Amino acid sequence: MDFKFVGASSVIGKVIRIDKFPIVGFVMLFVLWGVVSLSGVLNSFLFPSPVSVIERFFELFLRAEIFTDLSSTLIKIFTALIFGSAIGFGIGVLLARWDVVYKSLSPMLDFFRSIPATALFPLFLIIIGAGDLTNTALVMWVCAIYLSLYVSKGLRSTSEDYLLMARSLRKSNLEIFLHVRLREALPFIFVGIRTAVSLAVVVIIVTEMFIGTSHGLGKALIDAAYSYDITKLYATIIVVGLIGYFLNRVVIYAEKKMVHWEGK
Amino acid sequence: MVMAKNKRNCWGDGMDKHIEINKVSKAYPLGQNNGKKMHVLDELSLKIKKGEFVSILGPNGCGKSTLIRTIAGLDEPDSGKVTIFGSHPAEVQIGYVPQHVSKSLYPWFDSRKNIELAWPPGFEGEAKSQTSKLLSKFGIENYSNYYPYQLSGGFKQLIAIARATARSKVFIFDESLNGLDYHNKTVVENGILKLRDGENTVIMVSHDIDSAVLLSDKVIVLSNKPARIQAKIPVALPNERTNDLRYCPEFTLITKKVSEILAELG
Repeated sequence: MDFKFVGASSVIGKVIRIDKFPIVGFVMLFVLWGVVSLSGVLNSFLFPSPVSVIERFFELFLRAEIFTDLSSTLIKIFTALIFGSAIGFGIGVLLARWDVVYKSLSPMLDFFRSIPATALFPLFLIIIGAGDLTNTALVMWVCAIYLSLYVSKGLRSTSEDYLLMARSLRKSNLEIFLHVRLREALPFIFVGIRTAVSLAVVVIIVTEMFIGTSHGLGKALIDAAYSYDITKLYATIIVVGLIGYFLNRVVIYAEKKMVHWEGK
Repeated sequence: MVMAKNKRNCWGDGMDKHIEINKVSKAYPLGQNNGKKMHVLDELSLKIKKGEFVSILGPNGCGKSTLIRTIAGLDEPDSGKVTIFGSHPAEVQIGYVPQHVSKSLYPWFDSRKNIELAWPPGFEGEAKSQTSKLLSKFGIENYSNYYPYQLSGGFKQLIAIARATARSKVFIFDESLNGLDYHNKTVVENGILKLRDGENTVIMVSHDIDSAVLLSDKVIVLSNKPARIQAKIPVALPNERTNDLRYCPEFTLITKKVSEILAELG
């Protein structure tokens, strides 16, 4: 049964030249969802039909219901990612520069990394107060911690042979940093970036669900749930999913461009 | 202002035309905190004339790499002195080509950028034009935009050699022919042969007696550590070296002599 299905899509795939397999997955999900919904097995209130959810999804945009929340969340994420990562990068470079500093401070940073960001949210609330700044600050914290750890470790792991070659070419310390240490550390740094970005999305959405948030997708989700606007709830979940997905693709693209030599 | 860094170019145009290794000793701590040291080089002295091609052979671990690093200015001897044309090695550009080409070319730079690394910042114009010339000279101009992972081992070594010739006429090869198959080895050998012009001074550490004899003017055999000079064998072959020389009787006599000395060292 499966083969016939896949066979048909592969013909379509060859004609339209799209990667067929992901589409098969989504189509199957849609169809399955639709079948279960039509059969009435599940409560149609809590489990609306796929069509109604898709309709609501487009409504969110066409009726501008989602723009304030969407832009609020996006601004927070990008601000926090950029500034937090920059701070983390700077700290990472400083840590890598002096062995003594690294050995004394990185275990402490590692401990901070182990504290879930959400556990720190109440503390941030008391110190900074309720509002957009608190959420953003927490995500900045996450980015700074992860980047300082990954940047410092990456910069400390430069191959002796590459350093030897640079010294034989009589390169200055700055040149060695830019052309050798930093470059070799990039793959590892990107691991840190990917982790931080995934966590950033989670933390921002979760913290937006707390009282005191004026706008944001997290707030939209919790409001939709409390007011039983179920289709809006599902539709907003899809929006959040798309944000996470595209952020991830951007990071992967950047990594492909900057780290073109790995694994070859 | 611009000329300041250029004084590092190592063409050997000055008065002093020798590379002198003068009673160089080097020991490494054994790491057991008992003060015992592993003596690698023992008052080794050697004089190399500008334009000479010298191979250094010896048993594994006898200190060939340590000696080479001292000559290249990458390590300081515990006692004794090394001078390249009268200067401290670290003051001049040298053409260092390490054993594993994966360790010499940077994978994030293409061939051109790798070669341009030979120049300090501020000399981009000169770097670009000289690199173009070098790429043509070594016959690799079509590969200037290729990355190391897109090239075979032989070509990578050629790029490393091309870079070494950029600002220096003193070359130090550390077992650069190791691990190459016949074809790639020939490519690299031919690249190194191009350096035999009476102007370039080459010091080559090797395991390969054959290649060492074919390429050099003199073969130096080091003893087991602590290393001293066991033998200096002049290579009495015509200046023009071609692969065919490998099959002539004089060549065999020389390689035989070198093998015998190495065999004695165990």
